[in-house]
Amino acid sequence: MTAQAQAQAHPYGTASEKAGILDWVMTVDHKKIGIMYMVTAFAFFLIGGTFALLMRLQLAQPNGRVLSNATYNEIFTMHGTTMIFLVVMPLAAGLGNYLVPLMIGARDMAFPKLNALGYWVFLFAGIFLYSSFAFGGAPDTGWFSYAPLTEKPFSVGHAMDFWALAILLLGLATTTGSLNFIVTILQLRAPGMTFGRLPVFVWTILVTSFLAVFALPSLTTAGGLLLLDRQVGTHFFNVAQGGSALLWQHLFWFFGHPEVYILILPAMGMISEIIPVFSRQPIFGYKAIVLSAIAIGILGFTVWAHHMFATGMPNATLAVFSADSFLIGVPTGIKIFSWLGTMWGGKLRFKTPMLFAVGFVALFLVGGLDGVHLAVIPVDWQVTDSYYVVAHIHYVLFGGAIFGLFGALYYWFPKITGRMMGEGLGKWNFWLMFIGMNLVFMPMHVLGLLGMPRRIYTYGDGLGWGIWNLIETIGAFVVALGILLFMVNFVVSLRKPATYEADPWDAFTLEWKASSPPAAYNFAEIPTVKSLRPLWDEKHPDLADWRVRE
Amino acid sequence: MSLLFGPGSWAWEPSVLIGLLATSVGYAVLVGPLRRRHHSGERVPVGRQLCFYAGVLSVFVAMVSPLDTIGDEQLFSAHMAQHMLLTFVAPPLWLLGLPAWMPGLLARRDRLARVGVRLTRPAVAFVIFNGTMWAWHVPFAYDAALRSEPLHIVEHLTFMATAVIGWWPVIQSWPAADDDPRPWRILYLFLSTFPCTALAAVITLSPRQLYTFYANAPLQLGVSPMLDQQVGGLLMWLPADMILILAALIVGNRWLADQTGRYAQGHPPKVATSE
Amino acid sequence: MSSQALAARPRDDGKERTALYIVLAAEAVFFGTLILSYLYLRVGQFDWPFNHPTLSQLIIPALNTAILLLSGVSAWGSERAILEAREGRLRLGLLVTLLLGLVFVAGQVFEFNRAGMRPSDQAFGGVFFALMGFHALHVLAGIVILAINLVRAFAGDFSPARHMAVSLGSWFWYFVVAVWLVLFAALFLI
Repeated sequence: MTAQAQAQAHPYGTASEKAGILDWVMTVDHKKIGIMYMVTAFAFFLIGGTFALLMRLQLAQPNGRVLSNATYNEIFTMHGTTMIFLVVMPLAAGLGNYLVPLMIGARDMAFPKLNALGYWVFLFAGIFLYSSFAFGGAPDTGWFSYAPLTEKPFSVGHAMDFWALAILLLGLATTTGSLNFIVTILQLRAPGMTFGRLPVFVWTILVTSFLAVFALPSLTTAGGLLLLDRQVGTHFFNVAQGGSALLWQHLFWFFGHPEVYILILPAMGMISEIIPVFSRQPIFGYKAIVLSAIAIGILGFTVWAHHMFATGMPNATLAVFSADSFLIGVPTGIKIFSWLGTMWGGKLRFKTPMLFAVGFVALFLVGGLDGVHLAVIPVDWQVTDSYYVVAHIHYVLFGGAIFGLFGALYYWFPKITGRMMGEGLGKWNFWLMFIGMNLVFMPMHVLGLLGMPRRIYTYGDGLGWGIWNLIETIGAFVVALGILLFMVNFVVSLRKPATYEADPWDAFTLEWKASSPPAAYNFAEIPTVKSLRPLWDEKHPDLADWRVRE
Repeated sequence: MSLLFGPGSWAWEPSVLIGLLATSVGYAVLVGPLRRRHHSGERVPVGRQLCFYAGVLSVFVAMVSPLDTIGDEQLFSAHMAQHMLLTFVAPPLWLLGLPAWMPGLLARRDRLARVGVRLTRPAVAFVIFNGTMWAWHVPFAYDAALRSEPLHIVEHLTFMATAVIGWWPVIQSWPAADDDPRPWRILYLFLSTFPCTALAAVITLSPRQLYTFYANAPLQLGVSPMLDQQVGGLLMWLPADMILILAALIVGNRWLADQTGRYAQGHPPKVATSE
Repeated sequence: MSSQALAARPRDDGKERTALYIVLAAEAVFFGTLILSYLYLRVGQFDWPFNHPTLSQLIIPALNTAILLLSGVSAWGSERAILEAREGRLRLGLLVTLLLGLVFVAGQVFEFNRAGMRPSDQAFGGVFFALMGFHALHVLAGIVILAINLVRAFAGDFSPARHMAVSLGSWFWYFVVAVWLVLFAALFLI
């Protein structure tokens, strides 16, 4: 049976003895696990997004009365925690799970059972965290849960215990997943796939995995010490008894800063696969883009203090971290040149994946410039904990990570399902998200400069904030409409008859050699790789990359 | 100012000067006449030789210039700068100047060679280098070295020796064999940032004087002891991390260039094959 | 297990070892952040109770350290034993390591109680509790691994060519011993 026929007969792998849902529950196939990660993460995305809409409704006008202050605190905390830990990270993990073995020409991940375990721990942790709503209230101290607000006298009830335990479980899931990626990429590459021929997406997953292995333990320590303080009565963060509130911040941000690179690097890898294909050129500056990813990773561990500029650190320390934070903009800037260089002189096709990729570059640039701006101490002192910071994080996380992920979903949808997503709806999806996103987050710069603090549930009349907030709320619903269109597109496309085209985009990397969807065993024969674009080489032997290089 | 840079504030210590001179002469002889006698040795490029002498120069700056005096008597940050030169500047420069055959020459003896191999294994070297660094920064050890000249000499010598061991897995022998697992050097350098950052953070963020010697030092050059301590910690924080990252990028660049260019040279790539 | 069944099992390759190193790296950062939290509090706190520990305060922790070091030797011995196909020595080594580990944990509990500390005793009580407690938990995890290996050793599961579980268990044990050495120095000697 040919691979194509096989894919038609048994989408998502060979016929297994288990029927339907049991097959999925007991699977250790990286493709099915990847799909489960993505579906679950998307469900959390809708919940977190609903929370965002609720917040925007509350803030649309002064003296809003949609949510009480207590509820508002829970909503913004859960929005942040959900989006970071239950959406962006698992979506990237899911895509990585699905694609990495295919891109390196392997049959599965190195530890398939561990892979499955990671997913179920993630699912359990998410549900566990949300169950806090039913047990006296969800966490309400912000997604970075500063002590001592999170300590017993100030946070009564179990919300913070739910948060800390969920964080520990998620740390476990992420660490096992990262471990799996590292071992898989190091040891299961196809013959000929040297590290110089590794797709950029696989590189970013590798660097991200190393970051996760070394950053998450700090969060584990923080959560563990918080639990000890709350349950056993220790005093790690209790100043009166010799503890330190700043200790929490150091532990959290030592994790927190590498975490932002964990959030963005995979998306950067995704668009590094999309842009070359839709420019019909190899990636410009492969070495530079890989080395800059490594540099970002290592540097990322040294700058955490820039989240603490307003905590009373001495001037010398402030100056050094300001400089360090400027520095970290350099490798990121190099990547932008790489993407632009790839597009330069290429034959550009603006299909939906490419739209999202270019949107990423534009929006991430804004967010990056925001960030560099925040590295200037006097600016930071003025706008920290204001909506300026909220603007920054959303430009990089929504304009960056989410746009990258949406582009990736459009791009790899045909590989996963054997059919294309609608282009018309796709373009509407993109433009609504793009315009809406700018309507929501661009005015936040103004609000921040006007002095509107973040995490307030309402504000008074006559401050001049009302009009901007109203625009932002309208923008939020534009974004929501765009996402709704995505879901419509998704469902409509799934109902179309499958075309099973293995390589609909005329792409370059190995995963497009497998059938759409791939057979359970991925490749009938593990291919030998001779360059960064093995599929291009196969399709154009006279113009093969390995002929052209000196 | 003249007090600072006048002839009186340079530390013309005979033992140091003789040591530096001997090192330079010894190296010159080894890459010159002695190399020619042992025909297995390749010529050391001029750039690499200059690296070695630059390393010697940095030790000179560290130990003989007023940096030494100020560090020994007045400023913690100056002392830290001195230590940085001894551990992050001189050793890598020396190792860059060291060709492949030189260690072999020096370690004709089997036993010495075996000990050398054991000591320069990445995990061992990592522990030796970082362990020594942490040990000497424990307050009672640091203060003791400042109060006792012999102990201070031991401190500096152990810093330099353990730093050479620490940098060895990264710079290794030259020219590097094709089989060298260079990617692990990137990981090694990345992991090395952790003990450095950690120690620097503890020093920089400490709310009180850690090293009593400097709290009571006579002249402070108008700098408060706490600011001095913070600057010292910061000198270890950022510059050390930057040097390590720079090294990681250099190693990474050469490795990637190698990996992207392999097929053109007809070398079978070194990868694990899947089953 | 019959020699045929033994031969039919998949060969040990580098995957599990790499995975263990990654796990140990993460654990090292975990203990590192714990120790750094302690140091951070200690440089801030002005009356750390163990600034000049007396000999009587040090004797039990020192004894415990010696016991753990010994267990590291026996762990090393058990690995050597299976490389030389000496199954009896392997089992003995695993058993001794396991028992010494249990003695160590008991010693830690005893010492904590004897010192009269409670976790809620200002910051230092929590520090001792957390550092020694998390370490003891890892020792217990190591003991569980050793116990599993011991059972498998009795079942004849290991051979010179196939003993990855023994190696991994030993390496985890060395890690636990190394962490204790650092903790001991950090808590009692500086």
